[in-house]
Amino acid sequence: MWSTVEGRFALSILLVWVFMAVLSLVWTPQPLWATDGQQVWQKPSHNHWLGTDGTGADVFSWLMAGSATNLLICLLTVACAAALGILLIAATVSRSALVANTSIVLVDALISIPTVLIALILAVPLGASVVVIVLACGLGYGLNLARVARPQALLAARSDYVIAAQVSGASAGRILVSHILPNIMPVVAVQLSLSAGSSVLAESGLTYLGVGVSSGVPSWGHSLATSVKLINVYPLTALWPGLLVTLVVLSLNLFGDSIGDAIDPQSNSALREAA
Amino acid sequence: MSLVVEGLSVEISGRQIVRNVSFQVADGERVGLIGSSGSGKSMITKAILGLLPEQATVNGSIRLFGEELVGIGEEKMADLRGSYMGAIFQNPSDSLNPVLTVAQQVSLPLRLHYRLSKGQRQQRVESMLDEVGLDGHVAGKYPSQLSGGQQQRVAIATALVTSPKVIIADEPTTALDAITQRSIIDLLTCLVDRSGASLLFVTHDFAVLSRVCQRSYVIDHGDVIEGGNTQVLLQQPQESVTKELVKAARTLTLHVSNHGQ
Amino acid sequence: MRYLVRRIVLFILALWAISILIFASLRILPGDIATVMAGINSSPEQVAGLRLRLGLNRPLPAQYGSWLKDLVHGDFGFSMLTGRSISEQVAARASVTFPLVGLGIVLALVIGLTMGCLAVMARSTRLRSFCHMLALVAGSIPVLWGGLLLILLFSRGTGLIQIFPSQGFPDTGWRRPAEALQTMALPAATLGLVVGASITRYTRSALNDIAGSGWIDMARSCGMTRNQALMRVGLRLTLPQLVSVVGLTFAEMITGAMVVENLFALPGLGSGLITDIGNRDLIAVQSELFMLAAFFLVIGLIVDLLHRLLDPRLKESTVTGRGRS
Repeated sequence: MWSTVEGRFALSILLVWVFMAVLSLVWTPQPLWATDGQQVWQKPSHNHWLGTDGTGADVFSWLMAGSATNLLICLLTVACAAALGILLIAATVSRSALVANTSIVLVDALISIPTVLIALILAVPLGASVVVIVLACGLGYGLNLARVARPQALLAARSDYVIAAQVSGASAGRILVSHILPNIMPVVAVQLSLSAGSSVLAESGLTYLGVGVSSGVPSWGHSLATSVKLINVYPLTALWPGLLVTLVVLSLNLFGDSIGDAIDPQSNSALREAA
Repeated sequence: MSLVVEGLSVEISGRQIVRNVSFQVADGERVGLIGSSGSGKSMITKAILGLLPEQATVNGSIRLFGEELVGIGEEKMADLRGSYMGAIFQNPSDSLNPVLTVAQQVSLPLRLHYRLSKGQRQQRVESMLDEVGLDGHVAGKYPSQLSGGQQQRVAIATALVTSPKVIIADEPTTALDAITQRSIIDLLTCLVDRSGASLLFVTHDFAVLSRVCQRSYVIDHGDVIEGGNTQVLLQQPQESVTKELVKAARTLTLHVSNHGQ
Repeated sequence: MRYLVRRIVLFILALWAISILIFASLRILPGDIATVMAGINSSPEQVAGLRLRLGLNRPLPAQYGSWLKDLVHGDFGFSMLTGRSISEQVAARASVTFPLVGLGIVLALVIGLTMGCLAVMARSTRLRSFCHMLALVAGSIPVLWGGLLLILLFSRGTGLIQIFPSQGFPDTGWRRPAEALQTMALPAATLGLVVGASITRYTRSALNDIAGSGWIDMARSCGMTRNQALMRVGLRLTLPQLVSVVGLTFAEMITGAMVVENLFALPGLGSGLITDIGNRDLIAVQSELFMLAAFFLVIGLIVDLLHRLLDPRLKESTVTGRGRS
């Protein structure tokens, strides 16, 4: 992964992200709530590295604190998506035709429901919160994972290995863990890192719409949404949060691509033909 | 000479797939390339047809009726493919376009190379289908509705419809069962001989090779290690790889004939 | 045929499940729904009147039953706030959202297919990797920020080149198409660029995968060049997956559409729904959520059936999801 420029770029950005998130729990350059009414819309300076916003709060400190929230959302979403996706894949390769077919058609039917709609439905009783983002995105990305990994999972389930294992009496769970999951691992890994990127994008969208991270909790979506309101007056403040989100999402996508190449050299079509 | 390959080398992503291979195919001759899978024999046919992946670097010379093919560019290669060269691939279900009917598939080289009226084209396609032993009612069907043997007949008809002077067949019978294999081989040799074309036949199976080719080359790790009359190779293999291939063919053939009784 | 029957049965079941989910999520609100809807400054009599009028004093299953019955009959109720019928309100908003999403999709397809093909077929490898990188970067931009950048570049008032309006939709609606279309320009471009990036990435990876396949070799062996074969055979054979991807993109696009509608102050379905949620107009929210969900389930159904129709091999559908294959 370190061997390509893209891989190095992605990994560096992601490491900085994690470092900043952890650091922000104990230290930020300026205290988050130390707002100074005299110092609104400051240009970047020694004290305020990226300037201040309309309440006089330090933009850099808020972005740093937001990185922790976004990391949490990202990890929880990926965990939810992985759990749901693997559960659905297990159902798809089930030996019971009823379970398998139902799970296939269920995924096909539900996958067309946009995550934002789920988020809106959940936000009515729950209000804006991290939970809404995690549940809505986890559901959507889990369904997507199940759909994307389906062909490989079915192929693996019909392979000679699995049939031999079934004949020799291995349990369905054992077959799933030792034969099917290893075979779909490349797809799953790639898909999950793409989901991680999507969850960062989803956070900014949902928070802007008022159904994401609750107000008062720092997040990149909030930083972006706040700066948007005064775009006509102070266009440059919108630059930083947007740039940050773009960089991180780009890194997560590049990370996914390099995982794909690293785990699965067969995706290099030239080598596949030569083999 | 229909086809002369001299010092051909192919390298893909730093891996040498074909090394310094030379051989020739005379007019109307049927020549075989034999080797185990991964020996690089398919890459030789791809190099001749200009179908190598884009990252591949090709060195050496490939001459078709005296014209150099290495480095002439994709447009000129496309002009030669389907008119001077016909190709048949290993697995018809992976090569026949699934959304074209048999008639559309077979007429494709005609449409790409010649300005014929619809009637003329139809006539040519019908007679070609007849030559490969397919009924007229197959013409409107899709490949997925045909058996493996029928699909390979369609592929042969497509390769031969423009009466090309060189036919390149890459493991055309490997995906088929033993009985279909034999009928397809006999059909192919018969049609190639009738049209006076040369045939470059790639296989891993000496039993098939001995039925098709007068002269053969044995390929291993991208090298030509032995060449000559097929019957001589079969009876007095010199190299260990050739001996292995001959032995494999003997056991398989025995197995098949025992099975048949 | 068996798939069709199963798929339609599941479609109806999914629709039903969604209706329960929506109903339940609106009824487990903390506090009494009528109190919430009536607002803080209402008298107990007003609340009681509202409860009676909406039938909120009946048991939940009965409420759900009558809502479902109304839905089946196409009666979506009335907005508490404006008093207009919800179907009328939705139709008015849809006249903004549908053209917006439609323009966005068309733009995304034009951009995505062109760039995706260029990334595989361009003669210069530099141009190829440029297209690929551009799509990767554009696909990582949050819609909100993308819209913002377009405003900063092209809007009247704040932009560098002041050509398009950035706020609102004319009251005259589509009766003056030129004006209406102008307000759509920046929002649709935002959607088109962001979604176009993901279609580019998909097209590129699908074409790259198929470029090494036997079908392309076969077409080339008949006399096509690589690019001819990719255009005439490759694109056709990836079409079923492309349809699925566009269908899924369509579903994802609605998030973008909602953000864009809010950013550009367009009175569409998305911004309307957000407003209704903010106003606690829960009867409207309930019906609107259901209509949107139903719409996307229908899209999903159509996409699935189209996918099967386009794939003459009728093999197990190897559907590819969003993004990479």
